[in-house]
Amino acid sequence: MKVLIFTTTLLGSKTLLLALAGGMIALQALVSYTYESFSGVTGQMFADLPREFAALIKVQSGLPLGNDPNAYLTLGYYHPIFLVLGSAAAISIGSQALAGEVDRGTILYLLARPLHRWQVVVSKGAVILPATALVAAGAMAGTTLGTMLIGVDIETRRFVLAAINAWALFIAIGAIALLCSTLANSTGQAAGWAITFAMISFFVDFLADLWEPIRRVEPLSIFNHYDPSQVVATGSLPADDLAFLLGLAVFATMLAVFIFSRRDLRV
Amino acid sequence: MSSSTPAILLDGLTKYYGKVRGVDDLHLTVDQGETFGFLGPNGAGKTTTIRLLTGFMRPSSGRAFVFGHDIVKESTSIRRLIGFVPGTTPYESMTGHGVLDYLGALQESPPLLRADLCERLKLSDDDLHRKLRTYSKGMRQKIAIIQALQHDPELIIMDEPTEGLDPLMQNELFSILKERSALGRTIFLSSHIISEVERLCDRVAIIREGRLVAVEDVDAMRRRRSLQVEIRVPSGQSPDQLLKMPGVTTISITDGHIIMSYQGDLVPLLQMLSNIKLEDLIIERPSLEEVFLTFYDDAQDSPVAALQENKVKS
Repeated sequence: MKVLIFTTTLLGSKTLLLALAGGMIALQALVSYTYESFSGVTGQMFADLPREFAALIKVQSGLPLGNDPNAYLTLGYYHPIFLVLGSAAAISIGSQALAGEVDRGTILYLLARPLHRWQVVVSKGAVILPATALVAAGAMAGTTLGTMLIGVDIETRRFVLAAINAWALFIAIGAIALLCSTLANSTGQAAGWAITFAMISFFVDFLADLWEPIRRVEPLSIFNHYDPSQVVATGSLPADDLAFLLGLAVFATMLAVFIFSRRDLRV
Repeated sequence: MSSSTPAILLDGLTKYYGKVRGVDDLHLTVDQGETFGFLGPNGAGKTTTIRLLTGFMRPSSGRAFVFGHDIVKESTSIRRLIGFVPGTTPYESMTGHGVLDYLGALQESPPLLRADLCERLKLSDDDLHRKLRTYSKGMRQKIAIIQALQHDPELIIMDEPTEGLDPLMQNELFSILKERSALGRTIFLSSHIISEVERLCDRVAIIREGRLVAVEDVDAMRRRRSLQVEIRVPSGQSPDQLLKMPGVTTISITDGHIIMSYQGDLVPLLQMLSNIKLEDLIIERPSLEEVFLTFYDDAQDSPVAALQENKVKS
């Protein structure tokens, strides 16, 4: 690991990351704000949701949702904008890591130094950790801020766990983008592959709730291991879900190191 | 690192991209302290060779060594010893200082020459505080050159180094490189601009379609080619003895104005010319450019074919 590469890459993305984190804060504060407008009817609202829509927003039957603000506010952690902002941070950092350098030709300057290629992959890949942590922390901060503003008490610990679950999801997406980055010749190409992976994974998880044949492959979807409503409702983050997401991230990073160490760079 | 160890040694170095040939069976030795030119048109295999030397690619077969270090197994050690101008733009989102600090720190060698290089290449402190995206092409190239030379590397590898530099800066760069060479540094210069190789290099290799077709001293290469002799004799006279002389090939005869090529020692030619009443005489050595172009002559019976068979040496 080269700290200089890590810090230079992280600082090079600061504007993007601060914008995404700011978006997260605003989104969750806004979701908190809308709680008041549903005050007293959220329980009925969840109960009346069509099955397909409930699957889409990951509201599962059997959970004690009721009129609990904790339950309502988890909607913000599966909101499309939440997923887009978090994935944008992960995919942007991951896909730029190596393909961006190849794309711009700067990889020739970097790899002309006495560095091992694994050091470059790991140093650049490690940026995914603070980048996605910042965005996930932004969500947590937005929830806290929003609930303070409307004067509603929530169980902060449960939302911390939901944010950790989101962080692990984004780390996994970022590691897949890093893997794509080792194979691609441009950031756009790497990002396109990573987005395709995330979309397929999302739809597998969604369709599995509605269509039996897909249920067998559902455990392979990263979104199957991300369930904020369950985490907040139960107050615990399943270790196997966390292990799957982080294990996938480690595996993808190791594969990225293996591939990039052997790749011919035809810049 | 012994001084007798070649700076660069290619031993059957071959690179294929699938079925497409990059370079094929390259054999070459570049000695320490030598300034070596690597000539060829775009797509001939110059960049592939450099990418192999610097560890950006792995050879399909063959071996290569830089200061005795294997390019596959000891690539990291090699990159401690080299400075590389790659022919691409450095980090545009950084300032000049930022790029030089970043790459200098990763090189893990002190940037002893940076201040001097910046001064000689006319990059002011104000320039260096600006982001590269605001630089002209020439200024970016200066940064590319400084980052390669600032740590005083043993081997300087440059891919089209004068790209974007104005003639004054080109002269300054050549002057800098000659100084480094005088101090024993090895320079490997890849270019398709023959005049810059001619000005700077001791020896030159010409690569064609992935294969070396000649490796020679710049002077010897030029000498070995035919002289162009142009004479004017009084009207009505024909210097038959000269035209029948071994090594002379007549190109044109027009009313006492004779153009011919001559291959051989200069002394017999001058003796022969001294016996002829001349009104005018011009003898020219071909430029390296003209020599270079003959190597790209496709005719099978041209000197190229002979060179391919016999003259390639390391």
